[in-house]
Amino acid sequence: MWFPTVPSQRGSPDGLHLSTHSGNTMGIHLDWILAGAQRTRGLTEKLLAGISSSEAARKPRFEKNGAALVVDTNHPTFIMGHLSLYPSRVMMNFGLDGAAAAAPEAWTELLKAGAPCVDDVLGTLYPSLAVVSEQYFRATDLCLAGLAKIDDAKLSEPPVDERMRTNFPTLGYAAVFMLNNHVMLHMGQLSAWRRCYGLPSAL
Amino acid sequence: MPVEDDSAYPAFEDIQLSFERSLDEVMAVAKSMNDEGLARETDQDAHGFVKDKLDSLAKLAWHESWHEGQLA
Repeated sequence: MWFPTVPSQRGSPDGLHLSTHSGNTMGIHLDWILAGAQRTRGLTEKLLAGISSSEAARKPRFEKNGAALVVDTNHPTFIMGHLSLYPSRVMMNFGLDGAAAAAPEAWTELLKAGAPCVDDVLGTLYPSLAVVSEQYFRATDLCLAGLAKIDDAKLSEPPVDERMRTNFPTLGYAAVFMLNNHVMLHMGQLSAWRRCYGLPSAL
Repeated sequence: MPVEDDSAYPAFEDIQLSFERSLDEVMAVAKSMNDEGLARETDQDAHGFVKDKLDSLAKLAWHESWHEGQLA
């Protein structure tokens, strides 16, 4: 089992579950996974501060050898839209109803992993940063609230989705990466984009 | 805050080597620990940043992800 068993703390017979006063169980490992995800969500809010709606889907550019060079990096609109695709998928893999957290179907091809991030000069290719960010936060909140009710034992089960199962042998792997490391990776990109546009540190 | 001065830092190759060595050491220690040990509190005060030793490993990867994103 990828996630270690936890020594019994309140008389749990298998050492996996922490009994609550109500007699229900709560996830010990999910507790820290979700706490990290909440911290990540807070960082995301900070990093979005000050980004101009007219620049959010643009790529940085600078002059090199007398010519304009467009920096081929992901812009905030693409990043937030891309991240908004995943909370519902995580929920579904945990056996939760992720429909309410799902992003519009049309966003999938535009924002999926591997889709090109396009410098949206005319502002017509992507939904606005406000729209994709709202979807990200709403979906993330639904996902974290749903997972908070799940038992740690679920973390050792394989994901339902075959593609996710290829990348993550257990739901524990998937939850740690998708709710924490994946978001942080893109927040690092967003941090670099901010500095290119002259924005200050968000931390 | 990083400064634009090569002389202020060790050579990039040395930093990479040091990073790889320290990461190898952390991974070796982590692999040597059992489930119960990973569930214990950290030896030093983590100021609420991590819950236990397992969480400290997770936060290590979490932090690295941020800076990898800056490089990506």
